[in-house]
Amino acid sequence: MTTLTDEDGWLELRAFVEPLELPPGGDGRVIAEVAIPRGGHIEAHEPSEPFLIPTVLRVTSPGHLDVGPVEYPPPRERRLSWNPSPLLIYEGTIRIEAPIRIGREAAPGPLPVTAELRYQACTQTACMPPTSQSVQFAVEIRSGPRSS
Amino acid sequence: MGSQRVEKARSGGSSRDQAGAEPLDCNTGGHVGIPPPGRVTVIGDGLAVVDMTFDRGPFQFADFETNLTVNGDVLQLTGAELIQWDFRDGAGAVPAIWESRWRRVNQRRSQSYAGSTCPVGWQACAIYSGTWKSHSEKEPLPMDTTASHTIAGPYDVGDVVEDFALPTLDGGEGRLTDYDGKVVLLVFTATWCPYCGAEAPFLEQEIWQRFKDRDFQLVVVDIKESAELMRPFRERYGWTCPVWSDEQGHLALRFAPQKEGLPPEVAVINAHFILDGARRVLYRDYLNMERFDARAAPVVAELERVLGP
Repeated sequence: MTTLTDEDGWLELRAFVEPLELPPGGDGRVIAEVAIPRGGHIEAHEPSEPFLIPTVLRVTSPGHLDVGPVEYPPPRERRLSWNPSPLLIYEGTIRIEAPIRIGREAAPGPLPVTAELRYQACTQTACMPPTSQSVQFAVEIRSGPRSS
Repeated sequence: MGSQRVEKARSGGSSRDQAGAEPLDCNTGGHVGIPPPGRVTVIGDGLAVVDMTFDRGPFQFADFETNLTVNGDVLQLTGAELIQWDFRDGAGAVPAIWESRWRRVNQRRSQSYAGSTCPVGWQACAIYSGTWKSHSEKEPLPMDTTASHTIAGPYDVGDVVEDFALPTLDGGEGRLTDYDGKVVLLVFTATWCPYCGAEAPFLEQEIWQRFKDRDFQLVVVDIKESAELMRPFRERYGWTCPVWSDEQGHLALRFAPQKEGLPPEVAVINAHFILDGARRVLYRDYLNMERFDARAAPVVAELERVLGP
């Protein structure tokens, strides 16, 4: 397994697969850890207002990999004076996960995976346009029978 | 050394400015005069040790061991964080204009800075201007939109706005002088801006619908987005006023305040300009998140003053 951390963007995005190795047909999970700078936030996956840009994680691979529904953490409520209802946001460090299944025809060796996070961030003093950050990593496909 | 000389790179700086003891304040437009005592020693190819003390705290670069305090409440780099000061031009034995790039070696993001210094061994005498583009992941962003940290854009109250033309969302062309003789409210917006979305229904309901039958024109300018992206936004909020598209962000350059760390097309978002019939600026404001009012009450109050209640 390899992991890569994207430090070039506004936030820190780290992603990896658990377990470390999987056989063809095996199930695992992609875990994306998102470290949001202190004092800042990104909008929830299901924001509270229609004008807010949702946070979305996309997991893709050019190889034999099926990705299940992405699971987002529960958002926090942030009450702001200008909005009648609390806004739903992510702040601090969050984990976004997605179940994966290796294709039965996958060959042994590293299978490249990309996790791309699209988000719109605000700090206490400014908001920024939506942007995307992505990390590339690999899940190691081992030879052998499918694990249960 | 000779007499101290503290100069500003440009106007609009910190209210804490004081000759000879001006604190470093990277968020007010990035200018600073460095008070004595200070010392710069070039120690190698493109590398220097800077050691100086502000009245508000230490400012030291020594063997790349950095303990830099900038106004305490604005930005702090403390401990053994490493900074490489990469001189690109000058900073030798004579006063020189230089431009440097600071990069914490454990980060890939860079900070840029430019200015002029006195000779090696100088005690004071500096002009700095720069941009803090970077920040530690664990530190607040060095961006601030509060009034005290905002430098006026090109158009201030009393200035006459030059004519401009932009494509409309409906395929036509909107020209500012088409509304000469009317009071014009220019609102700069973007679909991604949460504050713009919060304000959007009130722009239509409480400003345009209320004042449109007087000598008034509301024009919304969408900044650096495609018309295709803006059209659903307009439909969602039922805007019936003209919406013009500054897709390249060129117009934003003429109206945007200078805010550290923010490009013009971001800094201008949610700005309001009220112009009289001769395109003279009567009122302007920029987004202030702490005092944000989705109903744009200060704008409405100014329109009431100009157009009547």
